[in-house]
Amino acid sequence: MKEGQRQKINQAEYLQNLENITRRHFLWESASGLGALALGSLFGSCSPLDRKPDSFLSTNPLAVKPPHFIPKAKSVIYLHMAGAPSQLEMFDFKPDLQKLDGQDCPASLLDGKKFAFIRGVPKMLGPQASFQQYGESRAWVSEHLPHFSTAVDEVTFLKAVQTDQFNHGPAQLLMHTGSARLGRPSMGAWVTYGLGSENQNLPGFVVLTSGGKNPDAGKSVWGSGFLPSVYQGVQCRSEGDPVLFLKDPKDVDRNLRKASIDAINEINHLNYQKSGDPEILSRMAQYEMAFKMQISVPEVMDIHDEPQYIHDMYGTKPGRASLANNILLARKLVEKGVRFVQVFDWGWDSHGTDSDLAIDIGHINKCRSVDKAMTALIFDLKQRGLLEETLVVWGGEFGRTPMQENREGKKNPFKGRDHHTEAFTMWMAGGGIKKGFTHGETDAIGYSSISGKVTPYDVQATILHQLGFDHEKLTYQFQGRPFRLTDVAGKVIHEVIG
Amino acid sequence: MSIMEIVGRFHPLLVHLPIGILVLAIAFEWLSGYQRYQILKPAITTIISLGAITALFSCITGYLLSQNGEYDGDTVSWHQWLGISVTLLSFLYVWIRSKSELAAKVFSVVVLVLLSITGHLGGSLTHGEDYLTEGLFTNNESMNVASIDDQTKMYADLVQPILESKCYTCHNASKQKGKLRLDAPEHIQKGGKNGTVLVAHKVDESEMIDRLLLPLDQDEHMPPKEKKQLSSVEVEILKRWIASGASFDQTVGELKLTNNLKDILQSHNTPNVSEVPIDDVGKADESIINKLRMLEVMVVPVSQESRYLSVNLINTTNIDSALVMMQELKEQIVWLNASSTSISDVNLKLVGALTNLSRLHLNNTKLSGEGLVSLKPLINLRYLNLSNTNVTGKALMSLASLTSLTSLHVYNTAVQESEIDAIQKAFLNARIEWKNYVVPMLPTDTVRVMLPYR
Ligand code: HEC
Repeated sequence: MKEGQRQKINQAEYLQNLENITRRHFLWESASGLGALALGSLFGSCSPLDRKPDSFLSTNPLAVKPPHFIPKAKSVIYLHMAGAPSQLEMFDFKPDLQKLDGQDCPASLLDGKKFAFIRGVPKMLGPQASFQQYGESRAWVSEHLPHFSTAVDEVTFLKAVQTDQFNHGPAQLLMHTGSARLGRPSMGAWVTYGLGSENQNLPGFVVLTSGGKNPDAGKSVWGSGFLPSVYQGVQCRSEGDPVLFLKDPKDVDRNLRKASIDAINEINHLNYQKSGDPEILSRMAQYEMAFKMQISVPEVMDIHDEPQYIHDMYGTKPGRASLANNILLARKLVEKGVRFVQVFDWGWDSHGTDSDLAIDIGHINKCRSVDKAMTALIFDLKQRGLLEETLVVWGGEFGRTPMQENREGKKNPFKGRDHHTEAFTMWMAGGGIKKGFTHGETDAIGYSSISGKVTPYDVQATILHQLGFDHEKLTYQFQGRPFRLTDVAGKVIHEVIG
Repeated sequence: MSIMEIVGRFHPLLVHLPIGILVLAIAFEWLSGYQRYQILKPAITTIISLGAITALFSCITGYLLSQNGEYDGDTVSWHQWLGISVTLLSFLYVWIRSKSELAAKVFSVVVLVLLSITGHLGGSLTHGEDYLTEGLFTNNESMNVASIDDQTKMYADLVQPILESKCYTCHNASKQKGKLRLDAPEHIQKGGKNGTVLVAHKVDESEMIDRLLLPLDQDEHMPPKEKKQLSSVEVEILKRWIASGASFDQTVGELKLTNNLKDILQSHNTPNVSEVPIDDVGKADESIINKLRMLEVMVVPVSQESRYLSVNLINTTNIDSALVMMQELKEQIVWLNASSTSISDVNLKLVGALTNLSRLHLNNTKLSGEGLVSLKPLINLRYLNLSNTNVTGKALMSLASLTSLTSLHVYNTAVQESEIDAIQKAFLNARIEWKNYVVPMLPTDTVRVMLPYR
């Protein structure tokens, strides 16, 4: 049958189906939905006809799909240091800031600016680390990242990232969903929606968290927003059951489980034929995947079988929940065909309100907790031949001020820095990104960018570009208009593409 | 531009007239000896005269063109004097014809020879000395990762060959466009009509680099857009050379650039995942794709614009049948991922028949390498991942004919460190990744800071 013909018939069928959508259907949908998410998908499912015919190639919403153009990267590992690390103690070396240490912050830097906690006139705070240049690329790295200093020639630094959100939740949402408000799909969801999953036994989009706390913005930073919910990130844990609620109930064996899922899906399928609602397909896919994941996920999530030298490399200890373990897991997942792994680590919010959050105490420990593992990740991907097709991205939701925080106008008990939106550092490696390169520069005290400014939208556009997408064309029809990750902004940072 | 200069620029156009006309005359001269062509005879003198006159005009315009200072040296003066000789001889030829036909015939040969030499020299001036032969002997393969070591001379081995192949045609002794010569250190340092073209250590201030980076359609872009352009590696090398001080005698070892340059060569030479053939291919048979999908084989076009296919076997339990079916898509399949599967050495025979493959993942499998030799027909292969297998160095050497390979991964295999040199020699263009990277244990890794640091 010709493609056009088939489409016509599909449309006729669809119209027929619309007539089948009754008040009862509506109640059923609403009742089964959970708050805003379900409502979102209900609206989403109101207009599947406007959708490009290729967004659902088959009845399997996770089937692999081609990107717009030939990709450089096949998967992404996004390391998010939630709370926002201090670029001034890691990568952005500002000797001039040391000279101003302890002096009042000039009024010109404060006029018309709003900070999360700084009030009145704060003092400047010099870098709490010494720096050296490393590698052929002569990149500056602080003494708190002794391992990472050996990897700088693999990396492109973005030294002048600028955001417009100074609270964690909105800033994290902006970074991952392209909007500071709730309800948009996350980057990983967009990618899985666009590319499907290479490995049907594993989720296409996995989330790993450490640091004892989920990101402030909650699970929305890996949510699917108005996209069908199969595309949301699957949160896996590195200790205990990797995925919660996946185990068979007591006394139910695998065959029985399979039989029941088949039965449920048969009914679901009938339902789908009647209503044409893609969310039913989502649900069927999720049942199937959950069943397969019962075997495959515990397998891939177990790092016991990694050789000792790999554990030495990453600094991992099996059986513990740690950032290092999650980073090693991210490598394992990508190796098995997972598209997008998002690693969140909480605890970088170094205000100086207690010693764990002191720039010269807790922040150093955080640096140490990530340094070895992120360095190992780069070299391990490289030795396995995976770095060229895996894009690694590292960053926080914003940066930290060159001023010392004075919460409510009073001196904090420890040295700390407030949230800073004007300029902060991120880095990318692999996936067709330049090696040993720096893009963007900040002024003498690291307050704002003087060249190469990029926004979260630009970073998103670049990530999608490396995966083979034109970020302006990866869209989803919702509430009467096509939506995209970068909304109405975003430029691919061509300078960093190798 | 003065009127004289404009007149001069008609030279390349005008020269074709005397060449064509004189050759015609000479042809008639010899043909008219035959009975059949005798009717041509009366025309010959007129034609030669016409040739002589146009040759005169060519000389005048040529002289004016040479005055703009962009041409100099031996080639130009030979071209000039030979041109003048040809003109004078053509007039002489007209006179000789009126005396003796036999003498005219002999004389015509002399004119023909001189005309050819003049024309060739003129061609060399416009298109470059080696214009004729460059297709015959390309020595541009000098640059690959293996050819760089500490002893490599930055200028003589890396920079000069680039300038030679991409710039000499217009910036040498005989042709100095923009009054610039790039064919020897002292000329490069001297610069062109706007002064120096290179500032040591300052890439941004070096006119030479600026011009390379200009958009192609700008007039100042070098080399001019109709000429062969520099590759990104070549631009990188020129940049590094200037950034490191534009030295004419130091080695890359002395400049501490060895690894950096190797990386540049690799990162640019290595195909990113994106290598697919340029030529189009027929549409893949949907029914086969669907059958493969039934076997849980992932088959997908490499992009929405392409008919080439990428295949992943990770979910299939039936590799044998999948590989058999894939034979019918052998034109289309360019990437194959069989990592973390049960693929065996025997299966490699069918893999080796997929001759359009450019990327092949066989990592994390039980392969011993015995079957590796079956991959020999994969002459388009650029990326081959064999890490975490039992492949041996010996087995690998059986693939040495795969010269297109640019990225070869044998980390954690039976390949011995002592074999790497030989393997690198066999795969000259390939970046070989084999070693275990170590991230050493440092005391600070496990110590927690409890008090303010320092
Ligand atoms: C096809 C002929 C041609 C080739 C090949 C060519 N150039 Fe040129 N070049 C010119 C012309 C014509 C000019 C003068 C016009 C102008 O200033 O744009 C010029 C001018 C220049 C100048 C400016 C000199 C000055 O002082 O104004 C530089 C620098 C230069 N070329 C560098 C290069 C380099 C480097 C290459 C090789 C990568 C190269 N050119 C290859 C034709 C060429």
